[in-house]
Amino acid sequence: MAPVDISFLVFFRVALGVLLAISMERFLAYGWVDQLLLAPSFRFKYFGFHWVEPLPREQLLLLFRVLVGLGLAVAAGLCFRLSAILLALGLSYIQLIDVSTYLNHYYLAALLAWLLAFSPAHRARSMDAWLGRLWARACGYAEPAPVTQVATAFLWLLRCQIGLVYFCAGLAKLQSDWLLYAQPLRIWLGASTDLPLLGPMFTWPGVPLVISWIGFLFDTTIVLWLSRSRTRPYAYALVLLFHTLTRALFAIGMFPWIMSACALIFFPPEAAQRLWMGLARRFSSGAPGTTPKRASASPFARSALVRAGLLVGCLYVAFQVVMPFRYLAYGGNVLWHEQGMRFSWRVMVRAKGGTVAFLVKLPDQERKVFVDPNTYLTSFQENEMAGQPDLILQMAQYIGREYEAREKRPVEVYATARISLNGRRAAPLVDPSVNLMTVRDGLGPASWILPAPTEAPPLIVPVL
Amino acid sequence: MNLLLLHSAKPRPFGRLLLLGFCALVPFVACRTPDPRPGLGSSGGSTTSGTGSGGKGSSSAQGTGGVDFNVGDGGDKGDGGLGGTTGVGTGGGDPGPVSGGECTAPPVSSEDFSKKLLLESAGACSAFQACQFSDAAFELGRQVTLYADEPSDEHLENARAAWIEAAEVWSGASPSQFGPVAGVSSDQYHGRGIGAFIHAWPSVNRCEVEKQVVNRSYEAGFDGILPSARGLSALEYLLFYAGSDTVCSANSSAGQVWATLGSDEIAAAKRDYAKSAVADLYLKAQELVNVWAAGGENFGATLASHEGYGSEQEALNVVAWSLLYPYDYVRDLKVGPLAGMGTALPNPISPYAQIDLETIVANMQAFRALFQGCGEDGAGIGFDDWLVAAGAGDLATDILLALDDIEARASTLPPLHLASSDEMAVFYADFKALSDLLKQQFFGSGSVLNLKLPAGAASDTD
Repeated sequence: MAPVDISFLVFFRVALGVLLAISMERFLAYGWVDQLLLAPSFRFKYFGFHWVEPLPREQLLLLFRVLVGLGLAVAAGLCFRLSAILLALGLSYIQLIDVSTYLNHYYLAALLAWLLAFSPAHRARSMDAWLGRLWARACGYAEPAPVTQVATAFLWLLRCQIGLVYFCAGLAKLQSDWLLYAQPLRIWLGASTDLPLLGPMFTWPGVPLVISWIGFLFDTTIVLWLSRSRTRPYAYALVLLFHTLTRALFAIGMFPWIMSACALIFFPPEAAQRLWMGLARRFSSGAPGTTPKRASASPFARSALVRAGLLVGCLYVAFQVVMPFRYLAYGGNVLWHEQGMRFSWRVMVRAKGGTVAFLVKLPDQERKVFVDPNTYLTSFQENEMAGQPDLILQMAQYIGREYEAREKRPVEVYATARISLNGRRAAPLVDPSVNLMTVRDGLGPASWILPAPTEAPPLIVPVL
Repeated sequence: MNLLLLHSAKPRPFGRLLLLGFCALVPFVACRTPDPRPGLGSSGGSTTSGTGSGGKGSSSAQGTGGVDFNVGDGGDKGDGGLGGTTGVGTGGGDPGPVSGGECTAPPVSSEDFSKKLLLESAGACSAFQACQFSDAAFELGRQVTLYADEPSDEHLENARAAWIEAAEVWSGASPSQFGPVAGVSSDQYHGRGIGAFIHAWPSVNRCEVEKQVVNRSYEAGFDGILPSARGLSALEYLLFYAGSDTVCSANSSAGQVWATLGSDEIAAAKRDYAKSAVADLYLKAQELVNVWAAGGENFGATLASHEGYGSEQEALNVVAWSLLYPYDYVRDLKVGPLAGMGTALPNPISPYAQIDLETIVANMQAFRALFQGCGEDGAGIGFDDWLVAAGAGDLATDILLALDDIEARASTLPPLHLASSDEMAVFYADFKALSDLLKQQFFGSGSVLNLKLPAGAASDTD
């Protein structure tokens, strides 16, 4: 495959670096470092990452400030390889601290940061490139030739990643709650009926269902329209409109802006270069530059290192394709049992909450001790735990170990969890007769999670 | 932009550095720009609070006494309502805002539901409750002044009865934790903590009250006196606790002065402080009336227009958090410790008058007023009407049934200090049933009305 203009990668580097810097600054500005990462006395752990703990407060705050700087350094292409890898490491670390803070767009940000870190995005229009030329001049060497092209694989890797996010988010809406009952959109639109012009429209009969279908069709087809030259400009305008509206309606942070920037990956790789040259012509009196011609495939593409890189890239894409669909191995309603929920781009598809209480049965005693999880958890964590059975299991086993340390004997721990999904009446989520101390968390189907309620969600009406 | 400069034929270091600086500023500027939905994602406090953060003292420079409770004219009850003739005389210091007139009937609207009407109704109900409390505070002031000026068993009993009445009326108002009566942890937009100066529970402190009794710093004004030494909780101690001992450390200055006083001197000092404290209480009640008065702060209009809240939904969130009072305060702090549930230590709201059960009954009446309607038997606009309009009438029914169960159970219980732990455990279960309903489908991620939990759960979402 012929190399392509590097402009797209440079733009991606700048946009992502700036957006990630803003994202880290938001964490600092809103006090979320304290609230979400430091305040909890108990943290939910990812499978295999139990050893990850938050840094002491001053160091964690410093880490976030450093990440802001690293985002800007990545944008500028300064010490790019090091700053990009450190940025990706930092983002990953933050997410691994507590499962209850998982968000799809945090996951996406980390993935994109890693992809960028192993790309040659700094080879052009970067501080590193400029410093390289300065150094060569200072040492009397010949200046390195400007890099204008990059392997096509990088373009397609990013397109696959972004495309999968959209498409899988669309497929996540291919279910009756969303397409037949417009849930949970009915509930969410009801909170925005005071928006000028649009708000009252949400109360019109049928509008929530229409908006549900628009969301579904947008997510599942937008990549197609962005990929075709004739429809691309209109499709991108739609992207901007869609993400601006979702930002106005929902508290989804940086996700709309990240996706709006990432959607530009579907434009031709030289489009950025054409744009810059056009602007340069408009604002300077110098001779116009020329659009670089496409080169033919070079022997470089056939080296062993490149082939290995291609293999890794293919494996990465395969992994990203398979992960969102692993829920099929468990059956049932993934929105209920959550096995296969994370890392699958199920963005804004459920309203789920409830209450969980734990009962500890001490040895040789009939009665059970009621344990309220708010003893251990912040209200944020408690809210998140309620709908996620694996977090309920972690909490139960932590409580059990505490009692066992005190009693010096095994105890039994049971959970009563009543959860509402998309407006339905609360129903039991886990089997209250199962001693959770005997359950081993793993990848297999969890028999202690009860089936989802079968009744349809209520047709909640947005009210003025 | 930076790519334009980097693309040029000649390197422009100054330009690049300038651009780098600009890029460094962009995130900070962008993030200081409010999100399109101001009020969400804040870093405010987490639970509803009946005490708020009133801090030290208030702006009312009230001297000793300073309010004429019409003690010498045969006992006409002063009007604490909205508008009309003043019932407040003058004495030392600023008597506070002028108010008067009868309390109007509880506001009951028969219009079709709208969210704006719900905010209006909640505000009107709080205004009515403030008026009622002002009346009760005036009567309390009258009886306490009578007792302080002419101590007798009869006057003491009358003062105690007036205190009980005022405490019960306040218990019917205190769960409404929005607007200036609330602390900033409950209403970060408009909370001023006025409620904390009326009743500081659970942050009461007997030693702080006894300090005032002996050091008499209140005579220079109530600025600088902690909420824990004022209000209904202080008056309860002064009226109902007959002992002449102190809980202040014997080595403290208050403890040392206390030790030099005889029992008669202590009793007289308590009466003197009670007289001043009740005047301060009444001024706070009047401040609260003025918050809602059309001729005062007119907070009802502010609430109905969700001014300062960022959005109508956020205003409704803040008002709705008052419905968590049975969960945060009654269940966990009043009933739970007596039932052996939870981690809170016993901290009765009424340790001397022992009317905890009556305050709980009044709390639940306040819950019904906000959830169902301010009128008799819940007539009027409430959150249940919103649920019905939204198609979730079943949830409204379930919540009202749970409320009925609590009220029915309360009617069978003895005073809480006499109730058994088993009786308290059953009572606790009743509250848990209600709070579970609220947390499963009324608040939080599963809310059918998209009502958020208090700000401690704020974050981005997807």
